[in-house]
Amino acid sequence: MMDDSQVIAEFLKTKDPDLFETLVDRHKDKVFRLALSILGPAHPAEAEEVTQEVFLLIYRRLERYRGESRFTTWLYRIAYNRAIDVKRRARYQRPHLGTDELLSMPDPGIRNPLAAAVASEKRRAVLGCLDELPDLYRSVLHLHYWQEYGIEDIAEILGAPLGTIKSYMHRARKRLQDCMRKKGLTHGSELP
Amino acid sequence: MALNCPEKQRLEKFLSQNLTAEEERRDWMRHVERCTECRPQWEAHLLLRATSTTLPSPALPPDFNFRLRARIRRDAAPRLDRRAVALLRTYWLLASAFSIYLIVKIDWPARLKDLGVPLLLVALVVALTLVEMLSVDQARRIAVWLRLAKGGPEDSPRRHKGHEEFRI
Repeated sequence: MMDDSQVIAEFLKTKDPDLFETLVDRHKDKVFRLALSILGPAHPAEAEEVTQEVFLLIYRRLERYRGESRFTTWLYRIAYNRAIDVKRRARYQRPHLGTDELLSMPDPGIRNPLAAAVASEKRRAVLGCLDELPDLYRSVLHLHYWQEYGIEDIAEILGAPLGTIKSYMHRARKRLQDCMRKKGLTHGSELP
Repeated sequence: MALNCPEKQRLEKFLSQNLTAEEERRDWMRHVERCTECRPQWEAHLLLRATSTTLPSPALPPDFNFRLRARIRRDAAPRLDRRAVALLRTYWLLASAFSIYLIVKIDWPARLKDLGVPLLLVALVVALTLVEMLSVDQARRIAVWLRLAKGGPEDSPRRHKGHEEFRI
């Protein structure tokens, strides 16, 4: 199987759309999940739009790619910046929708109404605190906990050293916990 | 942020995998209850894990590639339009220059000259050329500036405010 740089070289020679589609198939899910982690779980349509725009941009600019860095580094960087731009625009055009929309979705795991109410309150607080985090911290947490990426994968996606990502995670968790404490809600240290 | 806790290696380990052995569990819990550095990390970790399981996991629709292909094809088409517009603008410029040349060169009757007809014609040609050179967006912005049209979100100065977020 050809690696990304070989596919790109071949595509630039032949302009065969199937070759470009090979690249799309390989990376579309990661790009989508990265966009989702920035835009939030309530915005899959926007994340899909970002994914399309990213590949459209890649298609236009592929000739400029010189292979100095890994293709994925370049791709994820474009995706990250594009998603951040979309998020900023969305913030201007309308207030945050994410948390409320998510809370309207039932949590299938809880049957007891009281437990459900407590869990819902906690969930609201966590999602609210996540919303308050800087984009980068929130993305790192979403990628790890929600999208279940390992730290190494996140480092690759964001093009940052492993230690830096670990440090972001620590800071993000600390800030989240501080925020929860301010809201008077802490998890307690029971183990799952 | 550097943790000073001597157990930070264990924290790293437990943050990335489940605790299975009962003894290890209890030992770790004893540490977490005492340690002011590990406790917030651990609590946030549990909260995030619990909340994340309740979040939806959307996926790309199956026709994503098909729609992307269509979009790429659509994107290629306007390039021809842009070339055509550039060509039209060049024609306009040449035609205007030639018209102005003729207006200046014609031997106008004194009466018309006194009325300022040649000057008016030159002004008309220049105005028409300028309008033709403007894109729809530029025309809209001028209309907004002249208060002939309502401004949209794109025109708001708030859009250009700086943001504090890290940018890769």
